[in-house]
Amino acid sequence: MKRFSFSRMARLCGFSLLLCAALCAGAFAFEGEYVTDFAGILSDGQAQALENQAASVAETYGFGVYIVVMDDFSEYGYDDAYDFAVALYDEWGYGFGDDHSGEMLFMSMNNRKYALVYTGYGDIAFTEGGRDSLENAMLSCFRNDDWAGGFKEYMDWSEYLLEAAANGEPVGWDEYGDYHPDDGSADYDDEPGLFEWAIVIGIPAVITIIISLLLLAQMDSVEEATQAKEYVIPHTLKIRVKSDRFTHVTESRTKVHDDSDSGGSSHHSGGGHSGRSGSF
Amino acid sequence: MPSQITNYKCPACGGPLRFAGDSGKLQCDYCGSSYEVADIEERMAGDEAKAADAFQEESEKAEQAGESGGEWDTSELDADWGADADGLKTYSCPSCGAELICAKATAATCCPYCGNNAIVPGQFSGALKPDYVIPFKLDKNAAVEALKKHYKGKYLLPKRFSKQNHIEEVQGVYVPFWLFDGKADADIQFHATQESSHRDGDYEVTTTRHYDVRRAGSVEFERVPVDASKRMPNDMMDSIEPFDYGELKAFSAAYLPGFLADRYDVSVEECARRADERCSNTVVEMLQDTVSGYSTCSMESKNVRIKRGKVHYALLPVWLLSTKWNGKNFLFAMNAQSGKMVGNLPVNWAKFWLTFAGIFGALGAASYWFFLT
Repeated sequence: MKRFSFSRMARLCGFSLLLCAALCAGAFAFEGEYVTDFAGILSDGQAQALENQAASVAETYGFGVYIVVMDDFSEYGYDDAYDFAVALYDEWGYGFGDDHSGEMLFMSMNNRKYALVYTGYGDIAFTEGGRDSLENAMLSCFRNDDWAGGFKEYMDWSEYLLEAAANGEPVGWDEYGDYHPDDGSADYDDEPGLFEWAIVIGIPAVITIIISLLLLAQMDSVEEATQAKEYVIPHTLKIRVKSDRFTHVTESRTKVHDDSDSGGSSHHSGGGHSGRSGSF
Repeated sequence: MPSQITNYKCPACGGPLRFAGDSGKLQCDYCGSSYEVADIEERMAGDEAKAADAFQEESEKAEQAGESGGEWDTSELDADWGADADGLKTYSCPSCGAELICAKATAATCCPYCGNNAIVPGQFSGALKPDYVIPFKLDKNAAVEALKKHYKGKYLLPKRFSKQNHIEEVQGVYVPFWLFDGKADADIQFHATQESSHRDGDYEVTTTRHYDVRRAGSVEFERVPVDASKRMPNDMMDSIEPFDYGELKAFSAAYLPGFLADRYDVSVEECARRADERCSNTVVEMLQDTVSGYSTCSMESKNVRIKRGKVHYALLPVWLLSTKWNGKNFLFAMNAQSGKMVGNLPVNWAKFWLTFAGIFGALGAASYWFFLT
């Protein structure tokens, strides 16, 4: 039995209000079983297409793929997008089966925050490598404000990863260990990967090459001169023309990625969920 | 004429005189007498008159000489050795082709360039007379010590190389150099930028201000040396620079006894290319140094003109050691004025690869332990 708490009650009221607000939001909001767009960033057609695709995925794999978009989650007393998304996932009873298998993409538009929540079978089917691919594809669209494109990438990648897992070869499992499709369990492999070996070999190799080059440089003391500064007659440098003319100015803008950005998204796990969060 | 030749012999005992670098005097190894070079030169009959004539000629030429522009001014070079020629002889090396001049009393035993012992004596003739000479300041012992020091601390030097090295064969050689006077003038166009950046929300905004920068100017050079011997590697002679021209003397054969002097066999025109290049690079760099206060500066175009001046012919003192190791020739040279020793050393490759494997193995094991355990 879940424990009653005042804050939990307040949040529950918040979610209820959220639904009411969404209903009042007017023509731009979309609320389906799988796609909920309170911020109104998708057209009805785009939202419906995503809803249909999610429904198809749910029917095929028994797994929910959800999208929730709103203006600003911080209005509901949360500081972290992932915590809010997990609370929403639980409160709205998302997921299939006893373990609530499903995946949810939550986006908060005003502060450009996102969170991905994986539950139940999602922890196995969506490997870290698979999540990386999904996240990169999706965020490359969101960074350019291509919302429909980003959600489509999310749906397509989710479907692809679920299909690979259903075929007994979850994407990226070869990096982690053996996967057992019969019961959906997996044995993690602790053997170092190529990257670890590259570091273990690469760093000593670079240091050794530097030391070797320094030792070899000791043996050579002969070098052709390219300058004649020692033979310049003192005070004979005469500068005839010295002009510095401003021509134009250019400006470039680069998006700054801090730790909470997608490039270094935060990873979360616990409470039956796992996932990531960051900025887009 | 005969009286002029006797001036190279000791006035006290008639023995051959040798120039001693440490004292700066001409020394007789037979009776122990020593003389100032100037004193000995004064004894040369007719020398003063000739010197006066030569000075007169030189003054006239100097007055006429301005900035010569296109070609190097070789008018001061003189093929007349006068009385000096009688006191000189030559050696030629059939192995590398070196042709060496030395005082008649000097006996050369091996070629300083290739180490060949069978060098052939001959009669001195022709060639230009040097304008200047820098006398040997450091003796053979200093050269041997410098060579030992050069070997020291070289981890990859084969031990047998330093042990078997015939350092007693170190030979003092006056190496021929052309000294070029000139002026380099350059007009250079640069593209320079100043960058500043600030944060605007989630974006880093970089503002770049672009400038067309132009510098034009000139600088004068005096006595840029280029070695005029085919057998002497250019890079080696460049590496023992600089020589202190404050000790430059008007050439006299009185400085030769005890040493060999190589004859120039690379013409002024052939050497001028290297002098031009060095002067050109220098004026460009000096002008570029005046461009400051920018984040980046790249050269867009340059136009360099060399105004060619006088060329002087000088003999500069070098201690040389040529030795063979595993069929390969190794040449070492020391500036006999400053003591700077240069020369590439052989590498013990077996030791090199063992060291490489050792360091890599040790670091690899440490890295494995640190990262994977």
